[in-house]
Amino acid sequence: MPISGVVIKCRPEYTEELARSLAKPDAVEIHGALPDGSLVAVIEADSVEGETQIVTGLLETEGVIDVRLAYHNFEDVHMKS
Amino acid sequence: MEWTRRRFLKASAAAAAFAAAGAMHLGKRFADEAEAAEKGITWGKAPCRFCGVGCGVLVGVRDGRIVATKGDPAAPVNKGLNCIKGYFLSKVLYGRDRLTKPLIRKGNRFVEASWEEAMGLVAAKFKESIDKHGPDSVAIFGSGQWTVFEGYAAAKLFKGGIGTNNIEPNARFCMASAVAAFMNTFGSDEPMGCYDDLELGDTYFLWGANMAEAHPVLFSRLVDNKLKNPRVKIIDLGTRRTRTTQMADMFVPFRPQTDLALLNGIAHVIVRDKLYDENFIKNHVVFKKGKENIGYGLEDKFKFDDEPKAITFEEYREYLKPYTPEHVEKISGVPAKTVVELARMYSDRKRKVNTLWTMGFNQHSRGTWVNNLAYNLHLLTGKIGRPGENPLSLTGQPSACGTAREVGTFSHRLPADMVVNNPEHREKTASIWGVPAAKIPAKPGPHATEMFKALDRGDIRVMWIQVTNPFQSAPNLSRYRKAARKDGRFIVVSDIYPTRSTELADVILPSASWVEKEGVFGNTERRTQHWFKMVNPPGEARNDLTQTIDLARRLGHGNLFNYQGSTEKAIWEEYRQFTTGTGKDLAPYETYFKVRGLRWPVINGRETLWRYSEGHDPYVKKGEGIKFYKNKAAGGKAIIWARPYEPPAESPDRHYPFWLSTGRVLEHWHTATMTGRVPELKRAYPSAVVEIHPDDAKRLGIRNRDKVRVTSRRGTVVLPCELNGRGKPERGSVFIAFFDETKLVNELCIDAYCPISKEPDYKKCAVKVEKA
Repeated sequence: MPISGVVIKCRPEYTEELARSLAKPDAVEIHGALPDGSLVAVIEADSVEGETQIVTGLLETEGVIDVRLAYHNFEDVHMKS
Repeated sequence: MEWTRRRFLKASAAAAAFAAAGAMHLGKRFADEAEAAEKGITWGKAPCRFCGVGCGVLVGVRDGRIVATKGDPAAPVNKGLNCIKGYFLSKVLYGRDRLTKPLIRKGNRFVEASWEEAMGLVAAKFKESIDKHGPDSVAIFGSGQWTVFEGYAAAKLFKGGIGTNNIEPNARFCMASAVAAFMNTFGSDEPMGCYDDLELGDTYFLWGANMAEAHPVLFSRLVDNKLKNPRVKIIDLGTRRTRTTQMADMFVPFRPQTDLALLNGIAHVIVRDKLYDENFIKNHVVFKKGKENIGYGLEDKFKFDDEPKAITFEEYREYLKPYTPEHVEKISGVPAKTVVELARMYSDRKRKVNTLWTMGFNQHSRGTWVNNLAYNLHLLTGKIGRPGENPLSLTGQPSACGTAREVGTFSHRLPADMVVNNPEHREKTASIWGVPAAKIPAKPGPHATEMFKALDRGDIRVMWIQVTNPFQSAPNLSRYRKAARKDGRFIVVSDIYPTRSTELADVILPSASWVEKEGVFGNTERRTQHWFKMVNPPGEARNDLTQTIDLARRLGHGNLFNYQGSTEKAIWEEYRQFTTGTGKDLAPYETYFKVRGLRWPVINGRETLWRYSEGHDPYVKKGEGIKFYKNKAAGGKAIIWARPYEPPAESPDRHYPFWLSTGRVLEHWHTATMTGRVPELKRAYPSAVVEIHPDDAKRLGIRNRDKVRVTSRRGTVVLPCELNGRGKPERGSVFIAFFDETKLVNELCIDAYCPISKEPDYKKCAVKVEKA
């Protein structure tokens, strides 16, 4: 289960709404909003593709300007048999 | 994953994100758990494996495996944050089908072999071809993703050992036009500005560059600047709307190729309305004109040499006369009043103007010209060489600058801007390499497209390909794929995964990747970055550097690589000699171990942010202000080139009525050999789509996601269409990304190229579109 920490850059007028609407159990956990309107979130999924799918979805959400990756742990992702 | 561990890791993730967002105090509550999560993980710095931005990454290793990555908070480029491709750093090394053993072709199959057997065979084929057909019958095709060491070793072996200039990088396909224009405008490759300009400026013209997807971290710096400073304007000029357009203040669509006309139109208004900086022009600029009607390189062995002629400012003014806003509107579709508006913005004394571009300008049959014309606007207005005001040629690959361009792994090049056809340059190179000057051929070898044509004709028989996938990425691809399998050809491919190129090889050599070897990359802003080896390559995979030196020894050129101690350090210190005193000075090797890279020239340990600028560039003397000191022949001045609009090699017509442009998407790096590995869990392989305007789709009876056939005179591909994607072409144009190995869109592309730079035009050819 890879886990990542991201900064979601939002248009400030959308921040509050996005902090509510983006949260999804076992997928997107919102940990705080910053003065410039960015949201700090933790993303988890079954696979790296799952994570990037979530991020792609975030990027296509109205009010989201950018999603940037701060931390990615994939210690338990088994790529080789 | 065990629940407690998961909690600790989520704490780490949150803490890192807060820290990267500049709000470490808000993440303090995670500190203890984050620390527990990090136990046993050793972190080392490295530049990202992917694009030319050169973000800093911290790589976390435990028990010999990479288990985590972080944006490097100490990296000035990206300050602790990576783009979405950062997720794929987890996968670069660990795909299931990683190559681990040398493979030799036997008929239609590949059979595992030992390194001794494989290299013995490769050396024998090289030797046989050199003996029978001469040194120019062998070649190496390398990469802007080569480390500096790999590129240097290849150049030294081929030019200084074997005695052929048959070395070309895939950077011929992406940055050659930028290089040619740097050389003929400023006398030296690579930008005078740096990323600091992204925060210091207020006006950003993006030409044919989808920065939001191709240079995401740089774009986020631009956007951050804009959000903090309402005065900041981003103008997106291109042939298609992209995610970049969404954040721009102004979108200016123009017909393909008419960037040439539009740039001249802007210059026309600047000159007509006397909006130029007269003093700057008098002190820092000379004017030139070159050949016109210069062809497209479609014929084999096409030759072109420009014939520069000095002209006066008056003659340049005359030259621009036809490019009135009205005339430019006719050619480009850009309204006349917009042309004037753009000219006013460029020349507005209160605006700090920057121009940024990549493939829209470079992969262009007049790529050198259009780069020249972009520089003209900055040279006319004097907005250059000053903090916050610069043209910035963005580089695609992580070390097209550091390796291909700086080391000079091109058929006409030597290190540090030097060229093979200059006897003094050959002397200097030979002396550092310890070879007779006569060894290095004076005549340039074939450029990449011509190299693959030579392979087709049989003039080149043996080709080694390292760290690149040309049998998916070359234009007019079918011809070259067939060439690789012709009788009497021998293809060696060094890579980390099976690709559309390894499948055509005679020998496949498993290679080390990224932090499986020690390396140095150089990014867009002249920042040279070092990393140490952190994990072992899998199975029997080996560093490309080791492979090249192995071949050298087998061919009797081992003396070129008899270094004491660390090979990497020895190569660096030898290579560095080329740069000392040239304005491209590199620092001693150990300097790069601790820092997050340094921008050259590095003098007395201090990096240079702005070249050619007094107070910033130590080569500019007191009182000189701005001096383009690499242009000795022009007395330290830059060149404004008079260049015309000329049409593309192939335009839409009755039979093929659409423009086809190709390019990248955010999630996939180039041909997706690293980002597109099919994962454990069965999931549809990511598929390319063709973007088409809804009106065109309607006319053709095509609905969203329908399968569509796109055909050019050279090839055809069937794929789903996308009417409402993040890229929206204009009417009469379609766009397809080239990452999908099952949809070889480059078979449709035409191998027309800029006659000066020899870079192919991947952005313009004619196709027809029909429901499949």
